[in-house]
Amino acid sequence: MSAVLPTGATAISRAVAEGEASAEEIARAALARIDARNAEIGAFTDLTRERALAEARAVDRARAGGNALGPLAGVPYAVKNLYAIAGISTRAGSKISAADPPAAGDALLVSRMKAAGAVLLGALNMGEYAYDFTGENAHYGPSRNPLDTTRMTGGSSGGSAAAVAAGFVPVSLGSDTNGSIRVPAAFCGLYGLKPTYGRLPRTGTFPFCDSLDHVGPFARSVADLALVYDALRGHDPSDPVCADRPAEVLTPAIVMGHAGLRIAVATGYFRADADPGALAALDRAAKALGATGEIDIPQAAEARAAAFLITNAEGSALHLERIRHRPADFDPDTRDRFIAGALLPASWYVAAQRFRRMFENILADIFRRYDVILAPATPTSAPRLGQKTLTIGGKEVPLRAHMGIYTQPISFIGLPVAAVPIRSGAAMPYGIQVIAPPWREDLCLRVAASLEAAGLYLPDATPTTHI
Amino acid sequence: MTTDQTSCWIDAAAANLGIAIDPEWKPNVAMFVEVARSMARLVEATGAASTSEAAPVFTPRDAE
Repeated sequence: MSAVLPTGATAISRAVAEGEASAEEIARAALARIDARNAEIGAFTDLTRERALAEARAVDRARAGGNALGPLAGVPYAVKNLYAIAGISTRAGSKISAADPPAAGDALLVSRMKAAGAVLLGALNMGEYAYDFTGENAHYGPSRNPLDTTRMTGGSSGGSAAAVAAGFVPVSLGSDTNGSIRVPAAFCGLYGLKPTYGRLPRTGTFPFCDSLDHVGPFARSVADLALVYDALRGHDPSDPVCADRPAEVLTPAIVMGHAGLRIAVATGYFRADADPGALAALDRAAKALGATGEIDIPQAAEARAAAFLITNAEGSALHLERIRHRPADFDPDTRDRFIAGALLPASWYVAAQRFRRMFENILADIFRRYDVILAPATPTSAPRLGQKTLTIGGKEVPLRAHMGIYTQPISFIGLPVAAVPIRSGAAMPYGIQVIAPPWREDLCLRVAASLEAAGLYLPDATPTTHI
Repeated sequence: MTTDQTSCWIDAAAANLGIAIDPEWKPNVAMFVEVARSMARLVEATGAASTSEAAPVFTPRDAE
């Protein structure tokens, strides 16, 4: 139908609704891109080719029949392979669970995407059982960063980021327990949204750590991120954590910009171990927003430590039977951490859960003075694949344990965060976290949209004015 | 805790839980136990264990 097909979610849904492109040709074009480059990128572990074409044709039939189309009509997407997809085993990045029977139905958010007219192309690579910040996987190979395929995507939602950054799909779904949306978004130059803990139902996703698990989208623009979130939102009692409260649409909010918001830049812990590029990216964002406030968040290191303990203990308890009976079938990079976590004293875990409430109170005080906090997403840009250590603060430290130092304290208390890509003169981009009070995803995306409009992700762009 | 004490702890706890640890894996497991110890030290120093309520709240649901 059309000579040049749109590639963004907002543009695709508009083109399909207006008859400028068919959902089927959009889906076939996406499948062709995947066929051409997935072996190089390692984003998809499962393609749902027939399902995708059937869903696309259903959208086209609905339009031809004069029926109302959903807000994501014809938008191709894919999900981290811990989301249940009917007819496919839910790998969760593992060899062990890949042998489970195929899922009987879709995860709830996959059902919501379908109801909105989106077209599922498949399941995406991830770090084993989500215990990962790298995107590497001993069973299925690494997801590779489309901006430089010798580098990590970050993880654990590595395939979710790679698929969007490679242009395979405009949007994808991932999960974030300690930074698994925000870290890969930062490494791959994408926007990501980790909503408030309890905002989106996790029903039908393979868990990692119930106390900290979140689900959310990736996109190449803030408008697309908002469009997907709006289709996903809404309470469902099938996830006991999901909050029964109003779930406002975000798309109208993103045009409001950041005017009138009190924005502070996190200092202290959140600057101490960042490399010069990460600090430059943060400073560029602050300058573009006219943010002059600074806040040294107390006890951030303790929050990160508590998140580590909760994750280690809950994740290991979840996998205890597998650790007992099939330890050799784990990815060695996750196995030893799961074993260690199974051995921890219960008192450490309980203390960490009690500190969670204490840290929540600390941030509640800060949010009486500020509406939004900016912080780096990661201490460095994307490392080389296979890299095991980082040099931060002049010390060589294990990479896997340290890539989440800035994301862990924030998800520990479930605050909503938008990951925003920023360039700062280096070859690879950085990401910053735009952090808001609980349930205020609208503030995250308003600020993200202002940063997007300032052109901070364009190569060598220099903001000339406060927007 | 000394290296020997960590090793004894791992052996005892793993035996109690029925986890068989290959000798090749044990140094890495010990490293992660030590990392967790250092994290626990930070958390315990906050005093939260005795002064704060726990974050998880269980709300019983209506009978269906």
